Amino acid sequence: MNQARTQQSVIWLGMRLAVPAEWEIVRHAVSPKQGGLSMIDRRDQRLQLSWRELRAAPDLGRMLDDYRSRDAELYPAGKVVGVENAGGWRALRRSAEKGCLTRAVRYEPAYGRLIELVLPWPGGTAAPGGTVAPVAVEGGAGRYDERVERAILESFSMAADPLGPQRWCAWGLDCTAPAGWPLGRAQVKPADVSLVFQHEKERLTARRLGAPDLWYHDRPEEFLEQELDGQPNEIQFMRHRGHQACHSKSQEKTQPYRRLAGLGLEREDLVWHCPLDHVVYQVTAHYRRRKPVSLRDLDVRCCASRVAEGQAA
Amino acid sequence: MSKAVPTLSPRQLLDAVPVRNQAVRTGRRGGELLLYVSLKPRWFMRPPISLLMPFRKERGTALDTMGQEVWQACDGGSTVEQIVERFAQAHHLRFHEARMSVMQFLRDLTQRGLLVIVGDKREAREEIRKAKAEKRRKQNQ
Repeated sequence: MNQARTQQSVIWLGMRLAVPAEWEIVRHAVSPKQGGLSMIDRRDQRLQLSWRELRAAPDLGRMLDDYRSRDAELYPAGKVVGVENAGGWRALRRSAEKGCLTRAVRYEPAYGRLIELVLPWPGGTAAPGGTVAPVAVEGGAGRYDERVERAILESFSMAADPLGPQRWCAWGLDCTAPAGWPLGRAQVKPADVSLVFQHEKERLTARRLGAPDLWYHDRPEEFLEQELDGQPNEIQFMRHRGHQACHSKSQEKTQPYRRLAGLGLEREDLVWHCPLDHVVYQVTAHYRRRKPVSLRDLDVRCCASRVAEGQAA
Repeated sequence: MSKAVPTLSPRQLLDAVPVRNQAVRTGRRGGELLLYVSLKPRWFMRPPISLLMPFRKERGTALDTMGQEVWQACDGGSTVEQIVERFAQAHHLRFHEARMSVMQFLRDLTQRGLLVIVGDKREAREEIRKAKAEKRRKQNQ
């Protein structure tokens, strides 16, 4: 089977991991200090990644021992075994009658971050001895699959430079935000995902809109007019990432007194349709006139850039 | 004490089957499909009040292309999961993306009385019972 279709990369707060393509983020936090990320497949929760800022490295062995003894208390009939070849993780796997669960911990000194990864396998358990019963479908029906477990654990990596430009990859949106622009919020609506990066009052937004065949009709100017609730001040057509794109300049709708006081924000939009991804991408910049921001600062990847990256790799 | 209404969990919802209301009357207006469902007659909707104030007997809903697609897919045999899967394939959406769109639409149709979602009632009741037992256990702890 095509590897590209069965796996997807998720990059969040500098943490990167490869998971089955069908898993989706359902809960997320944007703070690098503490938070979590939960993923589900069609029916069950499949992954929980949580992180916490810690100045010094904790005793990971002791943490695992605590988990081990707690599991032994809660699931006396279950079996807990250590996971070998777990990338940079310290991991253990609990097999009980109600399902199997893999728990892994690691500490990233460059980020000062303690990371915990939990992989529940709700559909089935490893054999009573703690050995592995391989299954045919990757992660199918939530059953324990050693290949999936290993692939996820080994795929985990951290971005090299915590202070440099940060790449984000989630819900099919793949973009790199400039350094010093943390993710302010992520909005997920039906076939409409947006990531908003903020720096002081300036905002850069990457948006991914699905099912364009139902609403787009290759008329970006109409879409922009609808978005802006009126005509933009300036509109121009260009090529972007090999696709026809539309760029517009306007002003954010605000109270007249705010505009008079110079508090109104300028707005720039870039919209293009990627027929290979079957997606419309929109990049928006909101900025004060005296602090202009370029739309190009937020690098949103679509098919063309991914192909170029693949060839370079 | 109020009786808990069996609600379907997201897992059960995928296996549930949407069934159209057989009493729905259909019509067309341009590219839109119009669905009319009869309103439940209220006590004041009869003569002599209804002679003075004519009340509408039906409520109409217009479906766009996407709505029509999902409505046609609700054939009484396909599960929600199958409908979502077909919708995702047709519009190149990811399953979860399509699920959000389709579920929101099905919820709207259900609230308007155009559709019912048929799930396993016993399973739903069992889930409620388990959830209650779990809650009680946690409270006792």
